[in-house]
Amino acid sequence: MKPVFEALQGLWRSYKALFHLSWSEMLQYRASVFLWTLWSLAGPMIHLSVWSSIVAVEGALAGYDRGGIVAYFVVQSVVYHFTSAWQVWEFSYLIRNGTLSVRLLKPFDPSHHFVANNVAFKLINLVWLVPIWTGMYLYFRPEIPWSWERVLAFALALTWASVLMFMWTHCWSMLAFWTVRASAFFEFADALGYLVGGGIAPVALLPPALQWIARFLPHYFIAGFPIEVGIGAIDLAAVPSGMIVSSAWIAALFVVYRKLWRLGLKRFGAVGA
Amino acid sequence: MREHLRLLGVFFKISFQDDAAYRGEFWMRVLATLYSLAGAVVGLWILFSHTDRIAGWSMDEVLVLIGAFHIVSGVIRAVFAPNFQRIVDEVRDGTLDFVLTKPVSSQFLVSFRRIFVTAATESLMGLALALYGVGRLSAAAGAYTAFAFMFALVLGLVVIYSFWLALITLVFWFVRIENVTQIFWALFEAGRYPLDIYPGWLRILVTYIVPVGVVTTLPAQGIAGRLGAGSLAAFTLAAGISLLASSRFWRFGVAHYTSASS
Repeated sequence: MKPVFEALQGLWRSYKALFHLSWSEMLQYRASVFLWTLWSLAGPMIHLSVWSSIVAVEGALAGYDRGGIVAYFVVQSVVYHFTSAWQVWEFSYLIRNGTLSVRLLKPFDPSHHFVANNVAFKLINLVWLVPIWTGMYLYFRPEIPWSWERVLAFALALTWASVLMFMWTHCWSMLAFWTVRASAFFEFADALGYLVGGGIAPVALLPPALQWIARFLPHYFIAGFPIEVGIGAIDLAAVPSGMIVSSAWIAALFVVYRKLWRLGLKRFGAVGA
Repeated sequence: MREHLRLLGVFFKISFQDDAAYRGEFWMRVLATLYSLAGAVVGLWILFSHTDRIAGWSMDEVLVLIGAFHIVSGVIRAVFAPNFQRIVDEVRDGTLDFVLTKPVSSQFLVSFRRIFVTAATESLMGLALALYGVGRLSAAAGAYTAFAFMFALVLGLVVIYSFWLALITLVFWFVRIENVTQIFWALFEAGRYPLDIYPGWLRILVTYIVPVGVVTTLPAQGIAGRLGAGSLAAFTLAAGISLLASSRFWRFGVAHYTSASS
């Protein structure tokens, strides 16, 4: 029991240091960090407008009336912020210029650095995003049914979604051991996910065949599922089964990442670093 | 004027030779653009499976609009973005002085000296998509509508060019300006759809303040026969004014610039 405890204590200390480091980095570049968050608002605002003007003419579609559409995309901008992950660019950079070796010398797995960086980014930006989200809520007046159970379910689904997105991006990052185009492959896969995972439209509005596939893909559990939980498009009773599929994806991607990481390290060592 | 055209030819030749060395990059770009166009078309298909018209626009009209979006996006990525990024780097490194001492208009030189030819393929594919949309628009395709489309597209590029020039001129006062281009790109995404869908304040923002929306909406209105001579004249005037104003601002910025060594 004691060694486990000590290992955990060591990890905790590493995290405190890493978090402190990331936090001060972000504060240093707060203007650019802020501008990056605008991206989590652009897409949702555009698709909110498109679907609103369609619903205004056609009436409710698959249960989404104007209030529902607005709720979906306002919550989407919140979900996008908490599920962003960008380490594929950073990791490629570390491999290209060889600085991964420096990170490997540290007494913890380099992945912890990315985790701390990711969490720091998401927390620090709440300073301006919370006022922006509040403004959006007051301006658009989305129809969101409030209850404590739903808030809790949303928080859980959102946490799972951000872990899932992190693992998904992490697996693609590992490709950087083999190719300089890891980020390009990631973008390809991600664009497809955006299309069918609840990015440009709620999954219920996709053509039936696409809908059926979409509900199994990780991107649905990254975007569509937490949003639908948040706005009440999914019954609370159906939340646990979704969380189980989401957990299965996280576990599977973790296994893939560990495998790729071990293979990649061997290769990285072989080129003479 | 002839001297400028000759220089433009030389810039293009050198850029082409540079980019020809990276053929893998070229095919990767082409593939990525095709993919993103396919994504846009599938997205449209999803939208129009629920309705015939979005804010009065038919699917074929929006196809033309998305074509225009990619034509403009290709030009920005091939010409405006790389050249203007270089100005920012040079002001930071102090090498802009070499440009300013050359015996040609500094604005011309900084705007066109390097053309990222590979990125221009996006414009060609955008044009193909726009033409496909035009072909399906049975009512349109008269001489006037074709003229209105091309003319509005050129005016739109002039407006975008002026906007980038003015934005980059700010570098003489604030060295870290490149992040501001992030705002441009985020707003530019709004140009993928007709401006009529947006709420009033957003429409004003992307029409008058950061004019990214008109650049795609007006040409597409032109081909749909909804862009009257009056609007076209007003757009011409606005483009002319923005070009003049931004080049004056550039000259003012250069005059203000104290360079690296003095």
